Amino acid sequence: MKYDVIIGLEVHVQLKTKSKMFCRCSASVWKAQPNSHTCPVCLGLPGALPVANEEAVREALKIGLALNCQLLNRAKFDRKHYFYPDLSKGYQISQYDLPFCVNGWLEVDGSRIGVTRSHLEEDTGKLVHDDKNSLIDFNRSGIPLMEVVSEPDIRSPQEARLYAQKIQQIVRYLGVSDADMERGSLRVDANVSLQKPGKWKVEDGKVLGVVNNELNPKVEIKNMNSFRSIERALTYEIERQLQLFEKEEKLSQETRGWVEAKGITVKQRSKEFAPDYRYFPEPDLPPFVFKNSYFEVIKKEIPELPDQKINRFYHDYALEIKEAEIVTATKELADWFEGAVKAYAQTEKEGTTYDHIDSWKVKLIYNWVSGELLRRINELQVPLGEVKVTPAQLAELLYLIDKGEISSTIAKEVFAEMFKTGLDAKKIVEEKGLKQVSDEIQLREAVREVINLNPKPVADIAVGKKEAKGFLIGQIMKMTSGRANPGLVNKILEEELG
Amino acid sequence: MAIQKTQVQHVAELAQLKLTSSELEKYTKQLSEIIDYDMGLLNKIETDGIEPTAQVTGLEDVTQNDNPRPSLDQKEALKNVPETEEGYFKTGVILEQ
Repeated sequence: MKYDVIIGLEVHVQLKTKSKMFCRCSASVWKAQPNSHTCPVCLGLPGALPVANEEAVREALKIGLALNCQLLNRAKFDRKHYFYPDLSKGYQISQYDLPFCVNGWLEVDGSRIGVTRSHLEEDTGKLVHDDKNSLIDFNRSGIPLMEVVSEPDIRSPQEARLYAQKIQQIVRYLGVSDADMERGSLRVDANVSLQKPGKWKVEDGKVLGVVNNELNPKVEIKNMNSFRSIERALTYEIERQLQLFEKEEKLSQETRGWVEAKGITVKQRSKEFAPDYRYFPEPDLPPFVFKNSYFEVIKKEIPELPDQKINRFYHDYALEIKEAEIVTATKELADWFEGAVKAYAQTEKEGTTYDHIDSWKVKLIYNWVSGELLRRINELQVPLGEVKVTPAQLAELLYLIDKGEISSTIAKEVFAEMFKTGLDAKKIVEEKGLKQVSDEIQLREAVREVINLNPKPVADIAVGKKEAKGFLIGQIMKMTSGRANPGLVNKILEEELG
Repeated sequence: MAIQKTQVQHVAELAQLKLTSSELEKYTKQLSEIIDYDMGLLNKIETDGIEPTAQVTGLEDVTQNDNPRPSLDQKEALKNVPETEEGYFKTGVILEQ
């Protein structure tokens, strides 16, 4: 391509505190009656005074640390002014020159994406539009909102999606946000421009022209309601800008909205106010002066994050990176996987620690978790927290295979039952009579019968068509309802065929 | 320090005020006088070595615990609202697109 793609993202994450950012109204407003969670502070009534939520500040610092940011010892809130009906006071309390967190980074698929800053602010009310009127619900007004601003380091729509997904994953690991795009607790705006290679540079988080500060305009995209739409909207927008350049038409700097149903971006009518936020320090909120010792306390509260977990699973369990990524998708899944690994290690010998677990055993757990478990979870759309099978129960099931009590094929059937009922594998095997048949006399009988019933495949094997053997084994398994010990069947069949 | 007409116009737009040209003239003059007077006073004060601040209380790190308290109920919240609809504040149409 003749142009460099330059993308920067603003990611807004609603924090999961019990009360709002600057008042103590409950922040659990999902599906609540409109305007049922408000007070003079979040309605912006004259004379009401804000007080910062301690927990929100703490969570904001946690996010900063998880994004490898520097935390500022002196931070404060500022007023950002603009007129819009979703903003009751005429200004939003945000952070301007002294935000909580600056200069971080995230690694996405091998590239490092800079995080310019991450600051805490209050969410606005929610607008519902119809033809004649706009309706306002202030329940959302004042919910703590963390804004994470990336450097213009993102080079493709796919990378933009991965970056946003990574932020979602991290804040979920931290337990500070639901970060659900469909519910609006994670919202993403994108800035994208196409510049000629060598004609631009980045300074202080801004894209600047190298010659006479000349640059192609950038476009801001809003209304992207899913990770998929982030990628689609950016792909569309890049193509649109390319085509304009090819036709030598003028591209204007503007805000465009993504229209999901049509798969296009359209120009949003500019809000009718002059772009001047007149930031000034919020006089009603005293500044923050953090000691480094306080940051240390917060640091200790940060759990092992996805990248560290992937790294540990790679080293300790010899998982492939791709595999480790799959089982660490959520903290809950990673804990489940690790629980199963540890339980499985102990089936062999009491007190065996996972450090000594054989890699084939880990791989087996991985196969069951990524296969049987995740497949069912996805099919039935049940959250892992509601799954009835415990990690220890999976370990027990695999142990039954190891002991030769059931075959792997039967194990899958047992697992399906465990998933449904939450019963132990042992109990299901007993109740359903699924125990593997390893009785040689009984199996030899079945083998002979199958040989008698299938003269054609038997003749094929005699002339060297090996694949016919698989058919015979299949018939034998069928005859024993899948319970025959496969190793033994194979041995007997060889003997019987001579 | 004289205030320019363009600055007054800008501030008027931010405040969503529509000024006639004679008002613009008048306010530019008045604002210039006010600013000159205030800045004149401020400029007389020795401020070397004094850090800028927006706070006069000297307080720091004021926060509250994250414990929700009762909110206003919907009826109360909407009590003084000129126009409502189904529990919402109602305003003129705002088109985003």
